[in-house]
Formats: sequence, structure tokens, C-alpha cells
Amino acid sequence: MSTRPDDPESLRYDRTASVSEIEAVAERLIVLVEEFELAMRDGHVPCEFAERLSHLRQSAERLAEA
Amino acid sequence: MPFAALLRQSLEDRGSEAPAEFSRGDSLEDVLNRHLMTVEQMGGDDVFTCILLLSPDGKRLSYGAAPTVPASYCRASESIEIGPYAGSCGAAAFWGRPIYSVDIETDPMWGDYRELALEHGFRSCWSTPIRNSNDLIVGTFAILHRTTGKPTREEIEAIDLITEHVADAIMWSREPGYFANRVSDRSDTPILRLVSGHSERPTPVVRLLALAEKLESKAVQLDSHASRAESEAAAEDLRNAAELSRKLAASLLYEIELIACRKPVR
Repeated sequence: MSTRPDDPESLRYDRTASVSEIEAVAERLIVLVEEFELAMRDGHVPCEFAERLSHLRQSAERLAEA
Repeated sequence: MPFAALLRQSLEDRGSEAPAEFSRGDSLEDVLNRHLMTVEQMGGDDVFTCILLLSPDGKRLSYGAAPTVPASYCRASESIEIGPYAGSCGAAAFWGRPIYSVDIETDPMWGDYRELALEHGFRSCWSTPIRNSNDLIVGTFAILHRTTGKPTREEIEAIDLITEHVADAIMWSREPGYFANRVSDRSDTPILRLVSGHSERPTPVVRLLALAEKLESKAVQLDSHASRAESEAAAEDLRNAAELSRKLAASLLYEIELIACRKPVR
């Protein structure tokens, strides 16, 4: 059986995007979420979170387009 | 005699009886129930064991044996679609590794079945996948407890031992010639490789799995935060973060699959 979900909706990375690059984006996202965890629990999303999230999404998209 | 040695002896006794039981027409469920009762009798009052078998398409789990788990629980969780939030067994089959849920009440992996488990008084669950000789998962073996907690090293070793014997019984029921081959290979490398030994897995896979798991967990948290966000814009930011987290997790799982299958990366 596969360890991959049936419909992973994963970022369609070109195979030239290395695993380490995907890992790096993933780790930065986790750091970001943990950094703002307390504020988000109260329903608040600081502008800085949205800005950094936007950068991470762009990084992910660049990997997908590489 | 120490517990591990006693358990080993009891399971070997049980295993030696299984071929004759199959020969006289006993069902796989009958044989597995006897295996599990042997384990539960040695495990004490707070041990409820079950074996779930994976469907041929690898998507669903159904009960193979669960001698003392309440019937109402089994009925309500019959035919589990495997996935990261499908309880310990559904997640163990999905991730292809043991899942030890220390506290069902708070473990995100129990998202789909938490209420059912808690209603029946179950608080922790340790599940281990079973693989066949082709390294494919054929089911899961789980121990449910009414108390929270994680397994000790000795308990993990016991789980490995139990899972090996359960796997043997499953294979015997599916491959009539299995028993003869198994006996001749006893002194060599086991035909069935259990996945509970984390050390067997290459380090990159362990690392990527842990990261993917964490991303899935963060996505659940972010969705939860989004549901009580102070504005629609904030909720959208949180949902976007959850979506990115899930996509990255899916990509990592794909990479893991490539590594596991040893497919060449183009």
C-alpha cells in the first residue's frame, strides 16, 4: 500500500527541487506557526504572520515552478 | 520467569497450535482470538487487544479479531478508512509505522474517532502495522487501555513479539504453504519484517515522517484557530497556512514514498 494520500494535493514540485528545500520551507512554516501560537489561540492574526506566510507560499510556489 | 520470556513461550505454544487449528477448519478470527486472549490473560485488566485487517485496495481496515473490545465499539468503528486522523490504527496503516497515542482525548490522530473511544472509556491506544513478506501492510495490531500512557521498552518488545505471531497466523490463513516455509526460516531472517523497530528505517525517512506529521498536526491547530478568528481576513490567513501545511506534508510523503520504493528520481 501507499504511504501517500489518495489525493495529496501536494505541491507539484519539479524533481529538481530537492527534498531539503521542501524541508526548509516546511520547517520555516512550523517555526512561524509556533511563534504566533498564543496570539492565534485568541483569534488574532498579526500582520507579520500574514506577511511571512505570504513569503513562504511564494517560496513554495517557486519550488513547484522550478 | 520474566514477563517477556513467559510471553514468548506462551505465544510459541499458541503458534504451534495454529496450523492444526486451520487444518480442522477454524477461521482466522477464531485463531486470532485465541492469540489475543493469551496476551490479554497475561496483560492484566487494563488490556484490550484487537487486530484490524487491511482491505485489498489498501484503503480500509476492518476487524479481524477483538475478543474483549465492546461489540458496540467494534460496530461503530467497523471499516475504518485509513488516514492521519483515523485513530491509532488508521494512522498506523496510513503512515506505515507504529502509532502510540498516549492520550486519546488530546491526540489529533483521533480526530475521527475520539468521541467513540472516550464514550467507551478508552484513553490510550498503541497500534503497530503488520507487513507481509512483500513488505505490504496487511493489518494492524493494537492495545487499548482505559488509562493514559505510553509503552515501556519492554512493552514495545512484547508488542513486536505479539505482532510477529499475529502476522504468522494471518499469513498461514492466506498461504497454505506458509507454515512449512516459516518453520524452515525460523532460524534465519524472519519472513515477516515488522515495522515497529524504528531503527530499521533509514534516518531520512524518520526525519521526513516526523516533519510531515508535525505539519499535519499544525494544520489541524490552524483550522481550529480559524474557526474562532476575530475576522474573516484572519480566518482566511489561518486557513491558507493550514492549506500550505497540508500541501507540504503531502509533498514530504511523496518524497518518502520515492525513498521507500527506491524509485529513481528523475
